[in-house]
Amino acid sequence: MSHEPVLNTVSLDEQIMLAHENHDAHRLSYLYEQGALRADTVDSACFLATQAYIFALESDHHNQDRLRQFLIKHGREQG
Amino acid sequence: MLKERFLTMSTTVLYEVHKPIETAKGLPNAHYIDPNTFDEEKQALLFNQWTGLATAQDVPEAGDAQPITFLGLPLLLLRDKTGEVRVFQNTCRHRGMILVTEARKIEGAIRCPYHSWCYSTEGKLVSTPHVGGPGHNRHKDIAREDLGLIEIRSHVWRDIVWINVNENAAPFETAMASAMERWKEFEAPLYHGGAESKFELHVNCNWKLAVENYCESYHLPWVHPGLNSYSRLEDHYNIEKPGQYSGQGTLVYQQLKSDSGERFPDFANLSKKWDTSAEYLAIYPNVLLGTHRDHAFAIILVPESPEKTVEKIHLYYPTSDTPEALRIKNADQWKLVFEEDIMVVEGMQKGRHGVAFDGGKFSPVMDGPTHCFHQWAAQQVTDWRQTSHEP
Ligand code: FES
Ligand SMILES: [Fe+2]
Repeated sequence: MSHEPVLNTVSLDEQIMLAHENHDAHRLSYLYEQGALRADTVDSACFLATQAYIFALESDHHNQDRLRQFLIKHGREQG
Repeated sequence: MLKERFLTMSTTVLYEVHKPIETAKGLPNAHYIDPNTFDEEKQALLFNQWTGLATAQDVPEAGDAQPITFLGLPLLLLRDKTGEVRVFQNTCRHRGMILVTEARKIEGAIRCPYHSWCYSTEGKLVSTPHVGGPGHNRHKDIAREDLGLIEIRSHVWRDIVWINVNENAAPFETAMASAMERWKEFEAPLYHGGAESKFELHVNCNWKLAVENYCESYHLPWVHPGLNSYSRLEDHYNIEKPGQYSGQGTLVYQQLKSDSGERFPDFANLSKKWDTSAEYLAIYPNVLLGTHRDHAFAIILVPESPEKTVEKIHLYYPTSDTPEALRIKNADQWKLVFEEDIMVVEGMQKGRHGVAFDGGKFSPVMDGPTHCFHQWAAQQVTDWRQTSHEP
């Protein structure tokens, strides 16, 4: 379980790449959600929240309900 | 005569197999060596039946998943989140990607490695990311309820996961009623003996030869002289249930003892008869079972090609805390017996390249269980051809 905060010294993109290399779905979910929180358009937030949601489903991450509700609210996921 | 032999390579002639044992012949050579006949039997004898695929203990915990290629079919053996064992086609409903490539634990959902459609361990399609464009995860034409994983009909009995790929067999309890009734006293939890109690043998023979050799006792004094010294041929009886199973029983089973006299515990509440009896059933098509007062085993025959078979062997006990040293001794003893059989099944396989071999002449007294199996096989193939599946 990785709950460490996003380090400022390494970009989010780089951390996401590293997590992909490690096949760490749990961390990917966390990182993509961080990306979604920083996104400046709804479309971009929904794209990143989708990524986060899928990796949450795969890793049974506790953030899955929150992400799902977010996507439903924007009409992007089945209610 | 010669003309008939050539014909058998495309559609074999089976009427002589259907005859009573006194005049019958065994299955023609093509049923052991010809790829087209192998494919025909794959449908008639394996996919149309309740066929042994694996054991439930292969996936002990919820979420455990194991990909298995069975007769070319990519399958996924899985224990779902509620603890139920299921078998799915291991193929994504989107673009047909293989879903799981190695045995592992599914933490949450099964995510397809291609476009990440996600399936629950019950097979439901739970998400379809970006299916309606980036960040849009639904589309009016994507009906998730119609796009779950294809589930293969399955049933667990005696720890074996049986599948009926073509979904046309009678319900499991109906199809197996007679065998279940015969061994109902053994209907109790089976405890797998662990790592030393499972092994595989790779044999160069058609899977049916392993069935045929298993169900007869005629060969015991010659092939298993050690076994026969305490289990004589005349103490064996034939078991024949046409259309379902055949095998043999012994009346003089003796329990294994350690040097200090220790034995395995018995299955509870067995009747007196099982004090010294043991039975060995070949459940058609491909599962070989043995039961004794104090242990059981199962062999799943995995046909790999017309002339290659893998035998997957598992030993089971009545309790979870049997002595390890004794379990190892027992496994070694059975392994020796099963290895002694390799010489004959591989030899019979080679013998079937003799073009003038006519299927063989049965002993009306000793070969009943084999003939019973051949009649079943011939009937299933004949039925299959009659339902217009002729190539
Ligand atoms: S093939 Fe599985 S999601 Fe596309
Ligand atoms: Fe044998």
